[in-house]
Amino acid sequence: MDETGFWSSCYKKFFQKYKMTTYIIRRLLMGLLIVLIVTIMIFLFMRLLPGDPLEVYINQSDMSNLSPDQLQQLRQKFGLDKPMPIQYIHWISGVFRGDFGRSIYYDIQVRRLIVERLPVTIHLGFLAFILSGLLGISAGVICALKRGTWIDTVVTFLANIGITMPSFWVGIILIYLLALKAGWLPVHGYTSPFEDFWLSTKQVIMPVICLSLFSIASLTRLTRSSMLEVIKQDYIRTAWAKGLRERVIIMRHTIKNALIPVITVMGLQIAFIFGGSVLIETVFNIPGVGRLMTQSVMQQDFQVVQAGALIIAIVVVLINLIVDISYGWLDPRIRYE
Amino acid sequence: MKKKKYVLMVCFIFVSLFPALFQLTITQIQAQPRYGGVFTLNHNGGMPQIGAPADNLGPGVGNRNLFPALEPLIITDENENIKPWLAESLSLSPDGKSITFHLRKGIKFHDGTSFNAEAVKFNLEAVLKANIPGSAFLKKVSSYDILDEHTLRMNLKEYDCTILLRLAQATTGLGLMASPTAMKKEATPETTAKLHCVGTGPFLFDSWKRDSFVRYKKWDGYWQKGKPYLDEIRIQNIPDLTVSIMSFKSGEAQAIENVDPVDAKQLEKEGYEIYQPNLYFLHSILPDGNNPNSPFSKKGVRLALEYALDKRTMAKGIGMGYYEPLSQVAASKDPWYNPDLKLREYDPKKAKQLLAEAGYPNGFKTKLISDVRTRRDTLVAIQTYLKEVGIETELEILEFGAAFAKPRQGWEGILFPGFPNVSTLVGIVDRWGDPTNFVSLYRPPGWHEKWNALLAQQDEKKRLVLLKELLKILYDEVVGIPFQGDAPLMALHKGKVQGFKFHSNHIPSYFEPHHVWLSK
Repeated sequence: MDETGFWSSCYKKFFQKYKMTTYIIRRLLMGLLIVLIVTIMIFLFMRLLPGDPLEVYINQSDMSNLSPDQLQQLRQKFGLDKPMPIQYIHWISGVFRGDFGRSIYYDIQVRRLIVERLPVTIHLGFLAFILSGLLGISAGVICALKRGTWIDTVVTFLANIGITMPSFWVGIILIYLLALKAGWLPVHGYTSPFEDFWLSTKQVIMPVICLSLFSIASLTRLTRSSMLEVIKQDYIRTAWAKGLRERVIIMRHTIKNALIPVITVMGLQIAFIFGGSVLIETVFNIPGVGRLMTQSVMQQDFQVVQAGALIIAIVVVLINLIVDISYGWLDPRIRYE
Repeated sequence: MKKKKYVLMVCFIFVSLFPALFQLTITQIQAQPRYGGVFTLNHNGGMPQIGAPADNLGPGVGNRNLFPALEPLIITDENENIKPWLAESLSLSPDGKSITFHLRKGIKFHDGTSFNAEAVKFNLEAVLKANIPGSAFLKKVSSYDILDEHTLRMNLKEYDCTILLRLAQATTGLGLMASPTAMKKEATPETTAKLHCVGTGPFLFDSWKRDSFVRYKKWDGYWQKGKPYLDEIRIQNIPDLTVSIMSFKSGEAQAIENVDPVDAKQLEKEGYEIYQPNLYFLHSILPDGNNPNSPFSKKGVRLALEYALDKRTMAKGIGMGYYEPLSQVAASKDPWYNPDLKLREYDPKKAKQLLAEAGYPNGFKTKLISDVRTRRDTLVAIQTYLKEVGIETELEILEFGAAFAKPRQGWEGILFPGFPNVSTLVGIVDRWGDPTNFVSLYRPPGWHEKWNALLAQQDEKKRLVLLKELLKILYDEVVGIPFQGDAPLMALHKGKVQGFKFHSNHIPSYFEPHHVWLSK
């Protein structure tokens, strides 16, 4: 055996033995590459926008009569004096050290802002994700099992409405009905559950409903169609023919198999939930990353926008990675060659 | 019989007057300030940081979040006369080279330290050192002399009549006094509010959340005995006006600022009180008259621009009756308003004739430059009116940074700044009298000399005369075209909130927290 053949056979043996590990490493590397491309895109888009961010800073403080030397010092402070590639390297190396730069609007470290806001967005996003999973899958399963009945018709109709209604509009309607007219819930705001659990729960009900509405509707539709697909399969007919109990057929054979495409979509829904937070946090006046991003775009606070977009990109890439990896455990037929 | 008639008549009169007497008694009871309650104010101006003014509390009107805890050294009244506050009195030397502040005695900061001349000096030096917006005027101060514990002399390099006004009215709270002992404490962005927001005001800082709310609690050691009335003041930042209005209607807040005229009309119908302050914001379009190649270098063309705009319809249509069409750079309530300067009424024929006389019988094309803060309906209205007389405009909308820089860099065509001219003397000087700002505006001969004479004038009455003269030149020469004045509208729960006046004392976003009380 020549040297190339030796290494090739070693690789094949290794790959056969550690298929899953190799797959994860390969996906991680791809994820890193995607994040890197995202950082370049975010950086370029922010810098190619018209206007000099320093002008905003100068005009927000009493510096409009600064000397050229003083202006140069300010450019150095924000790293704007260097060529764009160097600025990018400077920024990305800072990101790896956990330094996202300094906010022009707030005049504090972006890391501080992210640390303040991210838990809020994660709290809402997590609740919305759980709610959409529970309600969406349950409703889909019920619709499939009760196909053609009035329950199926009503739930499918509601799911179609849920998909078409913009979440911010639903937010305003909910505020009007539940907060203003009924007076059951507060109109806006956010309180940490560790500070005041009851108030926190009341405050997050409407935003979580809005964030999860689209996901609930789409998961209902997907679960229903996936369930109907599986119900028609031969092995389900065989299970019925074997005289297995309905509960066992549905829980063990139907739902488990029907959930594989649903899990993929649930992963993608996280991106929708995070993206939706930009609107919903503004509507409900919640100080999370979404509202911070909206405000920073308006203020041209480029360091904050870069950091926020990067964090959302990393979360989405990670979730997709987890979804891909979870296939192996959910369906052993899937191979990773 | 006569006696019976007399008794009947007395009874009749008493019965007739009883409801009125009863109502009067109720009104008298209601007019008596009541103690207790939580007052919540909603605004949409941001809340990036709470602390002392020297901590740089962010752009915009950072002071509005501090008034419950920090008080000014001096203040203005509705006619822009300087009034004492923490300074009991002040005197200007005959040569105008120094101002002496006599401070109130016995005033303590919330941390128990004394308010004195050293504290005033410390605060003013700190805001200048920190480059706080609007603090550049303090560079005109050569030194401070502490004459005794409660007397401070501010020595000036040159007299400028706006120094005291800037100190009293600065939107970033330059004249608000914080405890030097507190300010010397090392603070991080998380602890700045707790450590540095220590003033002499009627309320103590309690808690805050960045960009969300700040809460103040009543302070029993306030120097004005018997005040404040409220137990707590909460100021909330809600960027979305629809949500802010719903929060107000649901009773979560008792007052909201910056209500749109359309919403104000609706709220008024629903029984809420709409409060319109005396302080106006003046909107103008500014042609590049200083550019010799521009059509606007000719006075006739600038005048045509003014006749082309239907100011009354714009103010009525956009402002729903709350806005005022402007004839000059002043609202009718301003002390420098000149009734002789009549509104140039909408006259498109005259505008076309003026254009033809200036050599543009078929009109011309130009740019209409504005920014992201401008109301789109106003912009469309201006563009439409100008098109009717033959002035075709190409829109250029600037983002924040460029919008800030444009007035100093210069422009070609017509500039419509998104942020209006605050109708204070300082606001007017900064827009029309500063030679480094709005540089493309036409400047009549001797223009800057006249502004310098105004700034050097110590006598308030003579200064007012000079200002009126300058505004008349501005009107005659059509330097800019002021078209609409609006006082930002506030909505209040009718009969519930008492003593609350926003933008009071001719100071943007100022209110006197110690006067506020709730009747229910």
